[in-house]
Amino acid sequence: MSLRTSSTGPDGNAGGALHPALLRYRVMAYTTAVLLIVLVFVGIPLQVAASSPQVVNVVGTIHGFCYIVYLFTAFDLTRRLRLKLGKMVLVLLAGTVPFCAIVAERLLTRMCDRSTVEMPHLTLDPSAQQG
Amino acid sequence: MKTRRGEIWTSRRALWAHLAIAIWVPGCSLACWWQVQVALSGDDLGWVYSVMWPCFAVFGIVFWWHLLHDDPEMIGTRGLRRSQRTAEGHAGAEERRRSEEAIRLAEEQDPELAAYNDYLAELSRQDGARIRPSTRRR
Repeated sequence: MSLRTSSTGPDGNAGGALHPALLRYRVMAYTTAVLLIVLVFVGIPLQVAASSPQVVNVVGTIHGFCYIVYLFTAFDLTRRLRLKLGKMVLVLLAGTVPFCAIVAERLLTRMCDRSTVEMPHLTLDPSAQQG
Repeated sequence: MKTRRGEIWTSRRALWAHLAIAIWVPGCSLACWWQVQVALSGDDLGWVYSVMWPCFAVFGIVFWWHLLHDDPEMIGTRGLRRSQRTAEGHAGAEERRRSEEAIRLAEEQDPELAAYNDYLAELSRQDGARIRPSTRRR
């Protein structure tokens, strides 16, 4: 299984569906990032200035659970991409800093695109690569 | 290079991972207990966090488990190149094995072809014998 799934065209890109691992990660990265931005730039000013904690309570809770799912998807993808431990941890922490998850998502998506060109043998299934 | 079965638990990397998980899991448990206390004292948001902290602990355990079982030699760009070379090596060997097999089958079915191949091989040997002294002279 390559980075793009088997529906990939012969040019390896156009119309090719994203690998499920990458898709899962991207969905979670965007969800987490948007929730965190709302939390930090809407919820916290409301709590501090207008002392109304409802937005923080609701969005904070949802972001918390999304972040847990984000952790698992990010861990799965970075492992498949064979990132080093330090980079892997940075990607995981990106979900807790506003805007960072979006940057991490861009970088990882680009890395996936590049690896299909430069390293066509790369699969997103680490178990198949051992040996 | 593959690490042996027992070594994955005692390598330097693994020992650091053990240390980290030995701090992480009790830490998450403590945080969970603290949030339960918060929740019991009337702040309902505490219930949310008292569910979240065990999730972080579980994630830590998953991370630790994979850290132990991933081969450090296979991680990062160097690991990628290594696996690429190995894959190419395997593919090359497989290719050679297949073409030798195909030639052997064809020769079995066609003695004339086998004789011709033997003749070519003999010519090649004679060439080698003729050429080698001359190359040595130069």
